[in-house]
Amino acid sequence: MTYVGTSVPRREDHRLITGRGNYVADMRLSGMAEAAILRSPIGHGTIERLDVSRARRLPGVVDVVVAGDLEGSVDPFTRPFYKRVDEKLAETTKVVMRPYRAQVLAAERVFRVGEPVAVVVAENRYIAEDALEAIEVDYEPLPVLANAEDALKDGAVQLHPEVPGNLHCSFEVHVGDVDRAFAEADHRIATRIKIGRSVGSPLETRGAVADYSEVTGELTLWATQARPHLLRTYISEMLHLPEDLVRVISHDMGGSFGGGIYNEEILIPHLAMRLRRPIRWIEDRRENLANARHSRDQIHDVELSFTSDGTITGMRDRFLCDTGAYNPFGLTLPYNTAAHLRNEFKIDNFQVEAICALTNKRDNTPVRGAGRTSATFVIDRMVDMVADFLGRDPVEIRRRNLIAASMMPYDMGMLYRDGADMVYDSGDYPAQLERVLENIGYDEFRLEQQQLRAKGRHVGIGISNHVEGSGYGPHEGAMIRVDRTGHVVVHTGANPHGQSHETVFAQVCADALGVTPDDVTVRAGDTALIGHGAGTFASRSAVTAGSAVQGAAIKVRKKLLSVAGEVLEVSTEDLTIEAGRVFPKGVPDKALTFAELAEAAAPTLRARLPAGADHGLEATFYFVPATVTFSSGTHVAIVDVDRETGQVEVLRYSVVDDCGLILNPMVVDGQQQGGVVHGIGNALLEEIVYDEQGQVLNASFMDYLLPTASDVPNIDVEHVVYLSPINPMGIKGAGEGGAVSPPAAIANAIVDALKPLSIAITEMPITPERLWRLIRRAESEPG
Amino acid sequence: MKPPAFEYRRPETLEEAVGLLAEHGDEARILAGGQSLVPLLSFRMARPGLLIDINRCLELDHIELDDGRLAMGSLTRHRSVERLAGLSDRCPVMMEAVRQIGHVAIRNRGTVGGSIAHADPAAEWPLLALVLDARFEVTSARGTRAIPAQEMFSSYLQTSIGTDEILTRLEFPLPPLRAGSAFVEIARRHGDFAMSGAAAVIDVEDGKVVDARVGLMSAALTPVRAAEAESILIGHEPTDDVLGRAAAAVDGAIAPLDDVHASAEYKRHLAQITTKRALTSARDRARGAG
Amino acid sequence: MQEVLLSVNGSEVRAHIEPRLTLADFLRDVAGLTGTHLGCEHGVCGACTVLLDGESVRSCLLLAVQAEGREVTTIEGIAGPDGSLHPVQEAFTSHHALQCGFCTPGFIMTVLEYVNEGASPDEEEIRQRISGNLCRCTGYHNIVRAIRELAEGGS
Repeated sequence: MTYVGTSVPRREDHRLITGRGNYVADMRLSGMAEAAILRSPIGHGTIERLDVSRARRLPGVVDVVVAGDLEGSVDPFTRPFYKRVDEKLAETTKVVMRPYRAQVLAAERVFRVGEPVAVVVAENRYIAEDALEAIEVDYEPLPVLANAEDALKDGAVQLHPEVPGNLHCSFEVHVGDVDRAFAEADHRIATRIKIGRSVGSPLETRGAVADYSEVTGELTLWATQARPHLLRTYISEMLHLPEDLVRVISHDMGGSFGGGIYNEEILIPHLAMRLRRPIRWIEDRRENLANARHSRDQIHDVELSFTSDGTITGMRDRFLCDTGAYNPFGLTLPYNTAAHLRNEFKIDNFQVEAICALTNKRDNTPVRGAGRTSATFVIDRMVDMVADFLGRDPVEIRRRNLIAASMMPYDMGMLYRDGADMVYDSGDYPAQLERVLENIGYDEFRLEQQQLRAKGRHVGIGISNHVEGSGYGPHEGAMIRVDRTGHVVVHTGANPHGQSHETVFAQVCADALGVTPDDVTVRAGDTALIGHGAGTFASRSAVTAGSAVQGAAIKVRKKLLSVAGEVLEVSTEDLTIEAGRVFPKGVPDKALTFAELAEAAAPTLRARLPAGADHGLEATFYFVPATVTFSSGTHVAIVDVDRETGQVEVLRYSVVDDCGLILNPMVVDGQQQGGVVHGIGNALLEEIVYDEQGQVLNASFMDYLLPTASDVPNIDVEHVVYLSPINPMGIKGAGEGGAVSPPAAIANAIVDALKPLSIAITEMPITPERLWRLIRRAESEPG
Repeated sequence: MKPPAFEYRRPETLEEAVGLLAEHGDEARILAGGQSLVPLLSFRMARPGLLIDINRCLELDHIELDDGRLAMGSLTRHRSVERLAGLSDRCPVMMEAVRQIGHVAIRNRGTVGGSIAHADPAAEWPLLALVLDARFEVTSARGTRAIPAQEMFSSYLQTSIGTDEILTRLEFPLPPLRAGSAFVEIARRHGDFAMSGAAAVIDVEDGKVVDARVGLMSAALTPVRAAEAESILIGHEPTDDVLGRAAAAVDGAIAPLDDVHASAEYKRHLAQITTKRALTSARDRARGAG
Repeated sequence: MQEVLLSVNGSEVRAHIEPRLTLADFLRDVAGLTGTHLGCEHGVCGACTVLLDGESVRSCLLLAVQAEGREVTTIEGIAGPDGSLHPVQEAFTSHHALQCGFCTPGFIMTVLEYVNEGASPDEEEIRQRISGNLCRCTGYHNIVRAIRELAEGGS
């Protein structure tokens, strides 16, 4: 039997449902002390005075550390997380990128509310927080850059000296002849679209536990980190330690949805070294909402040109990213947006310019959806605007403009962020659209809608489709070993935070080796397990780690067969593997178990190996994808709008998704459902609000609103499968797609619900008040 | 987010609690359900020198429903009210309100007295108390006195309970059985604090309104009664038009504030909507329309 | 400092603690039971939900001293003595009602109370009942399925 493609129950579950998970905050090390961070209460200013002496003297306080104490021991951040922009990309798109230095603890100046200024270490968090209050700080406020447009104005206060005019990075993409397309078009629509700022907000807050051994020189850090190997690299560089003496462990992890390398993840290990004790830091939720990296926050000035029959001929977009006080992800977020703006549509004349401006806010970085959500909101709203302009159903305009199956693979005429040509490799977008319309009952709904309208109800239906470049490189690896008991272990750098890797990769390995998933143990989230790793983010693990596991398993399988061939004196072509036993085809009683083969391959004089082969039944394989592979999805939402209050209820939601080969249907459906609900949150509820002084106004769960079970309906998911040609198994990413389309689908549904009133939704989230104001404005307009 | 240090005492009787308040009232806070106070402690927005935990003062945990009145001790949990047999039929507005207080885990601990004493204008009990003309008893070393609901809520999170006094008893006169009542809230999510809420009671006899109560939450620094709206209703047939005029009239009674969820302007608009909806429900439920 | 004695999952736990120590931190750091998680520490997310004398409470909103003499049930205490899973735990795993697992103990304790009271199989009621527990991974879809099965099974 094969396991890939079946809903194998999860190995992870038992410990998690019995409360025996091992999250960072669950770590208990002997002698462990606890840290708490003093953070800037102002958006921009200089530190005039910082006196920690009273805090140091409090009983139970171990130490209080400030920037000056780090000099010589802790380097600043000096570069974005991805060391280089691809040269071809940089040249073709005229990339401007300005590196700056960022201190782990602010030395002279703070650039955002929440910036770490000092750190207290105490016997427990209660005392540590008492000590924070005993630290005396005086700041001299400086003008606050409250938004990206103000930051770019002449005379605006300059944040980092290395970034003139607060313009951190920019690029432009040109495809075809956009000026001509606009000149020749019958019509054009232009509008400004604003995407609100949000935050990932996993249920687990950030945390780190560091332990340093003076004796061995080894530093171990347990952290809520989606990229353990990258963090290891940063720690080794910034704390001057050999990389192999640094170990980063991330297991179990309560969600991620975004992140990067954080100052605290450098600071806490340093403290462990400095104080010769294990140090724990666990962020609280108020810190998390203001200090875990934010996302979205873009303003698009966009226009489409189109013919009277609804064919879109050109697209021009100029967008501004409010990137906050730092931008360690460089081009990732804005380029993702640029690359996904044309969505599944055939728009061969395209121009986009993007600018990232520094402001006194938290960094704006990839969070589930990662720029694609913003891009999809922009284009899908505009497609519906085209439909409204022409008095047509949006379905018709979509059908007219979707790239047809016969056109695939479709070259989009630009580079992807990795520098490769951006090509939609596989899929059938029109069929996907038809399928989801059938699933939700689009035509039946239109009839129902008329009846309900007659009764004064405002129900509407809205569509959004998207593509998702997934399985980003540079690599992911797997080391697979058969041990002396015949058990198989898989080590990978793809550490999960809910994605079921322990189960899914056991399935892949089991199929390749002819065993069951119970014979396989998958371990991840520990840099000691495997030499190179990238991590779990950007919808990449099924593609990259899945391919790596298969690649390594194939190598181990070959080894198993070749050792068996030596022992049985039979050609490997005549051997087969079934249920963990290797035997000549048709002769099952001459079988060798994996344990026997492990013994035969062991490094002793009795080893039975083919000439030149290494000892052991073990192989490592790194999958290095040529480029991304494109998943796609079409979402349909049905909403009910309370016209008096602007409240919106999502009644039904259907998804048809193409993520190529599905490893475990239950797991993939769960990813889609979770992503959609996250997207509904972005659409209707979630927004981080800053005031003019750079203060976060809603850093608590009472005021930053995550969707609850009563805010969302069941999420109906169906899959179509178009295998990816980019990796051997044909897998495409599934982690984020769910979160990409909901804001557009819901916005379109709301507009539809309120017809014949003409509402222009150009902003997300669509809060009740915002919608109420749009309704009022439309009601007061003549005609 | 850990609380700052405080002294802690847990009296076993009301008398003991009163004694503690007499001595330490100025720097003490009473801990009942804790669902409002403990978050304030965790955010370090409240820093009492002494916490007086009254959860063992079981004499304050009682509830009696008789024909005209619901009486309870201040330590009565929201959940006890929610589970009270017969309350749903006897006083729908109260049941509707209680069910919108947070979630079950909050209602298991939170107390009616605590909600009154906390005096959040976005909370359900203060509004109910005002609309039903509740009567409160507070006790101190100086004795016991009664405070009518109209005199209880002095400002935002402020009551007329003295620092040495403790709320012990609440009495809610219940509307006549034939009256219709409703509690309508508009919140961002189920269980959140309301952006706007209204409670309405309409008693109709021979087709005319003989008594009307209209109150709003999240509409000012305290819950408010809309007297003008009530006078528009009383003596008239509760037609849609009359209800509409009454709803419009609440505007004069309210002074909502901007917050991160809703502007004052939007809250003003919502106040009309919630009032209208509460009035309509109440009217439709009233038996006596003739 | 105060001496406190409470029962956690049927075992006595005695300790000297500050009155400001929350029940959540007591369970995690004093009783050593880290299955109860902290998601917000202000009573909104429900990850810290435990049972106090059988009733669901937010352990981040209780001081440990308040649980003196009371019986606290945590996620570690609901499987059978032989390790057999409680029907609520079974339902969660069989319906893939968890992904990262961080919110899961709070959900399970909330659902346990609901099931003990008599859970409704009506989806809207179920969703309202669990709307005090936040999840960022599952989208709630499978959690609702799990509760429906429990409600219909009449366990």
